[in-house]
Amino acid sequence: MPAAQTLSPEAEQNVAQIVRLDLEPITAKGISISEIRIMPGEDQDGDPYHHIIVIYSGNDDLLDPSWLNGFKRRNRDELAKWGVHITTESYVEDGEWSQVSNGSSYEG
Amino acid sequence: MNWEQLLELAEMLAGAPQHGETRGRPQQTYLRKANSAAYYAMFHAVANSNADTLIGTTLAVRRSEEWTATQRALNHGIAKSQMLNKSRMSTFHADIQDFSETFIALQVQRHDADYNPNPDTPPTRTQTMRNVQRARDAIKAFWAVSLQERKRFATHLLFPRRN
Repeated sequence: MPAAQTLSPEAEQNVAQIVRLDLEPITAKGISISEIRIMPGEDQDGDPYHHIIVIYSGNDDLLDPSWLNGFKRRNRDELAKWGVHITTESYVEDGEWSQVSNGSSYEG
Repeated sequence: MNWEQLLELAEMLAGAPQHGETRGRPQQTYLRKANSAAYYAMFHAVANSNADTLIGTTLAVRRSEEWTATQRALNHGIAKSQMLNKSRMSTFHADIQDFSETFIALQVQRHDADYNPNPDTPPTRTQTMRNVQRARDAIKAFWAVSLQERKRFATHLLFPRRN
């Protein structure tokens, strides 16, 4: 497996687009995605991974966990084309994201 | 370990206000332990399934040394590695594939939650709750798969093929 690196801007854009397209059944119902971030990392075994962070607004209940769990199965081959193999995903409400970003909340 | 109770614990932690408050956001330690518990719920669910399918499910059998040894044979790293085996995993039921991908995703976050003092993104309440929901959904779907298919998956996880 290739070592994890920060994705090129093109790869990052394409991976974000894969995520957006996959979430279309959910966004069509009223969830709005404001940003998708892809952060590289290395897991406990030294394997590279990419943390896909979806920042959204709207009704939480629309984020069907069953659909979210199938993301990788549906998109494994497309993601691999852009060097993304192991992923972990986070879905963060945008109000919380702004608090995380400025570091004012969630301390302690 | 009872996976349902682990998920209940995770929900309690993720929903808990700070000490001394009746409302407000949970502290980071609570969220970290909630994420950790969500992963461990998945880990114990599949470990129990392995022992149930390979050894048996009666009360007496579940108290046997064989059942216990099989339940404890699951290794975090080997499980991940086997779940990443694309050609083998594609032969399993979609719900087992989705369980595996969720297991890997939560394993990464669990390690960060338990050991990384400075994560890139500290866990938030909605994110943590989503992880708990994902774990519950994945486990329920996994347990609904036939015993024979879960038995095949158990042998895949516990007996990696030699190269």
